[in-house]
Amino acid sequence: MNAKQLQAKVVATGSVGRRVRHDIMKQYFEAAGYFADCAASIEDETQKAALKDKIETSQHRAYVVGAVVLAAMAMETCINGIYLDACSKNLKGLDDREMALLAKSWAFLDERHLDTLFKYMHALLLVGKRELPPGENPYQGAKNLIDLRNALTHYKPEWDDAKIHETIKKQLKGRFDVNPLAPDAYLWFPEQCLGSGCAKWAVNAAEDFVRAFCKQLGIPKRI
Amino acid sequence: MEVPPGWLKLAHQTLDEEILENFLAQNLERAGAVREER
Repeated sequence: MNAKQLQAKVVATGSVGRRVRHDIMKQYFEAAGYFADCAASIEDETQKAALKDKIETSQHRAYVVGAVVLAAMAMETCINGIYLDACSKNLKGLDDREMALLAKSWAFLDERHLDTLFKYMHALLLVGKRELPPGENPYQGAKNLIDLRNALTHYKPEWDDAKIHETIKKQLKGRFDVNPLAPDAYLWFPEQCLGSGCAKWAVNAAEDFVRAFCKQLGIPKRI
Repeated sequence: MEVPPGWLKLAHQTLDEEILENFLAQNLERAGAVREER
């Protein structure tokens, strides 16, 4: 084997020690914002004329539900990423001991599939920071968003005065403009609730919460 | 109910996983947290 053949063999059989870490959080936030804008443009168009067809109504509902679900997904992806950055000792703003506290707690949190907001608040407690007040925004907005996501994801048909409808209505009514495509006589949830106002509120609630959390934890902002 | 500060102090000092798991259990009980709905 001459030098050239040996070089070719090394190139062919060697492996590159390269790892790629992918984070989808920003894409979720961008997609949620995009869906909210799409819903708003359908509302603008259809307010000028009657609904063109059923497809447009379906698109509008898809955009709004998509924005809400993606905004909640982005929040969960964000906190998972923060714990995993601590596991990789790659979380600016925290010292080695604080990162170790988050990293060593991650396995327990992950295996229990605990709720998103608990993971956020537990991280603050672990590094000795104050929790965000649960009765105030942005915590309250984030909680309302997750409750709405859960109501949509695990939707159960029920009468309009039954528990889920009433709870969601109580939590959200007045926080955003209602769906202009839903006549007043329609149910508040989901018909009047699910418009671009709700979609934009969902994106803002998630972003406000993540920003406040990063500031409280003492790490650079993520969005 | 507050999480006893002693747990956290001990966790910071030792980074002991058992202590951290106990701290998590204490905080879970305090927060009444639940498994994430999927």
